[in-house]
Amino acid sequence: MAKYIVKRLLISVITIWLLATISFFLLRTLPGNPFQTNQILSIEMQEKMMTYYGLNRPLLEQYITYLSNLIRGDMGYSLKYTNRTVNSIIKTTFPISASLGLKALALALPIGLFLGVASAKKRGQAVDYACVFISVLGVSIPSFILGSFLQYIFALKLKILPMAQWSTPLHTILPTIALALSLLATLTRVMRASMLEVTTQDYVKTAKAKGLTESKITWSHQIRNAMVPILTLLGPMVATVLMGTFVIEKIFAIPGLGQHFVNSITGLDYTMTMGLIVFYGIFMVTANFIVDIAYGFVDPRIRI
Amino acid sequence: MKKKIALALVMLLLLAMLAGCTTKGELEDDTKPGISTGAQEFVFGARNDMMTLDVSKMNDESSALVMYAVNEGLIRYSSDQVVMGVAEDYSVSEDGTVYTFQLRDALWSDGKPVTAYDFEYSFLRTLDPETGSSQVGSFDSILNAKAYYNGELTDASQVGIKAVDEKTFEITLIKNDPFFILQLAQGINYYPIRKDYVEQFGANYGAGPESFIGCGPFTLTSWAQASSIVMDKNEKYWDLENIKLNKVTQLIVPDENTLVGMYDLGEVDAVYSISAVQTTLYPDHGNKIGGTLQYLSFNTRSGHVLGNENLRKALSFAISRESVVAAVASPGSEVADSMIDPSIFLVGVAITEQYPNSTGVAPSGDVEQAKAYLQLALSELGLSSASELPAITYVAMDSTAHRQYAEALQARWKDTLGVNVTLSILPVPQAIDSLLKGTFDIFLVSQSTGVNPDTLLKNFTIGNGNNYSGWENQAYSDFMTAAEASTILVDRLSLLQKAEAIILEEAPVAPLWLPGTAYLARDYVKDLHYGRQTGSIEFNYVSIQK
Repeated sequence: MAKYIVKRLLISVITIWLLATISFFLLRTLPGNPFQTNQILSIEMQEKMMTYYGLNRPLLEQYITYLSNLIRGDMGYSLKYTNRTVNSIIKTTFPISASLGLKALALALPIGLFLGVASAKKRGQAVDYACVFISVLGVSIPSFILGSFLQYIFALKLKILPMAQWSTPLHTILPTIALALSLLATLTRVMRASMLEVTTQDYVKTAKAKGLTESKITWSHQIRNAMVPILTLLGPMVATVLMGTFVIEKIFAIPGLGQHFVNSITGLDYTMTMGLIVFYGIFMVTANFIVDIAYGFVDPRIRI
Repeated sequence: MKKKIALALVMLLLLAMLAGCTTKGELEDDTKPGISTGAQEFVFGARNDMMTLDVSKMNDESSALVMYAVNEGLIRYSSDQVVMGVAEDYSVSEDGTVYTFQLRDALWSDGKPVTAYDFEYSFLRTLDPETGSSQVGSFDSILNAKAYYNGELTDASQVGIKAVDEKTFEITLIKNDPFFILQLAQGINYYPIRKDYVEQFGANYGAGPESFIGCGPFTLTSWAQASSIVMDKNEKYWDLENIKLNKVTQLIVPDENTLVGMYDLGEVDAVYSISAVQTTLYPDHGNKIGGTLQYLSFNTRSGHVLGNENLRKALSFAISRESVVAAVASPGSEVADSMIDPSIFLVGVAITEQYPNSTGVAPSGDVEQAKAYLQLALSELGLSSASELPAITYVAMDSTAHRQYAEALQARWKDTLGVNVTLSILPVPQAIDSLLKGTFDIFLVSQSTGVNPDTLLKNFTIGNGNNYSGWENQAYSDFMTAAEASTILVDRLSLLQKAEAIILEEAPVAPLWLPGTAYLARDYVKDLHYGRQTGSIEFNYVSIQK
């Protein structure tokens, strides 16, 4: 176990290093520079700014500087938000995105799993169709439609919830639901499929033959086994959801991390983009790492 | 059995959670956050957050808007008039090169006096190469400023920026510039800075309300990045008696539909900048134009087909500016037929009366004339039909408006002249790269028109970095040089007018329109002004009368 963890940790570090390196050079192959904005600066002024920020030096030299700063946890100053460090931007925006993501997961996970199990148990019956309907709906309605729809009903018409912004717990309800629905749909689908798969397994027949009650079979033999694919899905899902979503954050005016993923790349804010990639990378690798360890607990057949 | 109970409990919890939410929602019904009551509080919504509070580095409209309220320069624009700010009065030396400002007894929001040294420190800090400001160009007319920011001069005391004593500030120009005071009033980088704050916060200066101090009518109380900015009345402000608002809140809501919804609900009292689609739903919206001119820049460099003057004219005459403005442009936009912003006023007279120049293109276009120019162009190029023309590439920035303009113009040229234009839509940095490197044939440029006609026209002289079309006309450059050297306003204007006539005749650029801005504001918001200095809203003297 300990040996496995050490090995995985080592691989994780190499993964992050590769990610940072490839992204660094890929990012710099994009044409243009961060100082070419709507306020058109003359070429001389751009050169001056490039020199000031050290972006004119040889790429390898910049890479080494970047990497050595990164190891010390310093991701530099944003090129657009000139007086703020990438670290401080992530520090203020990530907790907001993460809090929204956690709320959505807390809503989607139990309901999604429950609907998945229910529809698998009542396969072909009305309950099943209802669950499948919800999950198809959730997967196919884009979040900007759902978000606007919720705003229209609950804020503009019924006037019981605020339209947007991120201040009181009340403000979090609509974005949480908007974000949760698609998660819920995915979870329902996967849970349903995986429940159906285990139903035909030999150990379920054996359990039945032993004379176990239906509920005992469902809880101890089916759900536990069906959870393995959910666990696999959950790692990246948690990582993605906590990182924020561009669309929902935009519609509900939530000052999260999501906007920066898009804006930093279109604006060629090198330091910000790199900071986000590395941060996301670390988060994703960690989530997968935890999932791999968790396999061992959920499924005794998997030895780590 | 235990499991069943557990399941039931979980479901119960979830239900309780959902139920809890709704009841809470109903309770809060009539106390919506952000709503302004009669208490002189003003809430407005904008799409973008400000980038920085560092005067030396500020270059965006949203920062300029807030800075205008929380800080104050020597003089400023207020309701389109130049008024005194921290300066009480100023005098100009006989040769017009030395401006001496007498400062009033203004205070910073912490009670310390605003001194000439704060201005001297601010201006020199912006120019200091160590600061890394991209805005140094706005100090070019000041003696030795350019040499200092380029690093050729290291002695800051030789720059024409000097605090004579606590209350006297002196600016020395390279030469007499009749437009300097307008420039100083309009610029967004001429505010004072407190040295002790910069020293305390270093590179993080201006990143938040705690690392910033101003001397304007309001103080910055909080700035929740990408969410809200709260400003309270500055009790130390010199003109306090005329400031009626106690509190101003800017909510940052990137999505337009959401923002307009909040306006409907009364969560915001005003919305800055709404799109053409929304204006149809709000017929009583306000409009303003001016500040920016959009024109087509044709690449006239050798090897580019638009080096042909008649072809450029054919393209310009074919455009129905009026239809594009009606269908695509932002609300309140106006057709332009010259390189002058008609909203500029000089010595009390509209600039359009002093500059009767025009391209001669009717707002609806002149297709017959365009065809005639095309025939001339084709015969000069030795071609028999428009389909034989070499490829013409229109490079556009990837934004909804720019894409729509490009598509409308492309279709128009194809339909009226049979000229094929290829669109190349690129992300902003790449598109600008192409513009500056001259790898385009047609590019729609939006450029600030500034406060005087020089601002735009001086870009087209030979070798100017902003002369994107690569157009070289000696006579034009000579007129511009003469105009700049001229110290008498009337002479200067007549020279500028001659220069403008040349550029309109040779058409390296085709003026299109002046984009407008539409805004929403409730009736009870009095004296809200859409100003030139910030390019956006001025709420300093607003009062709420419900």
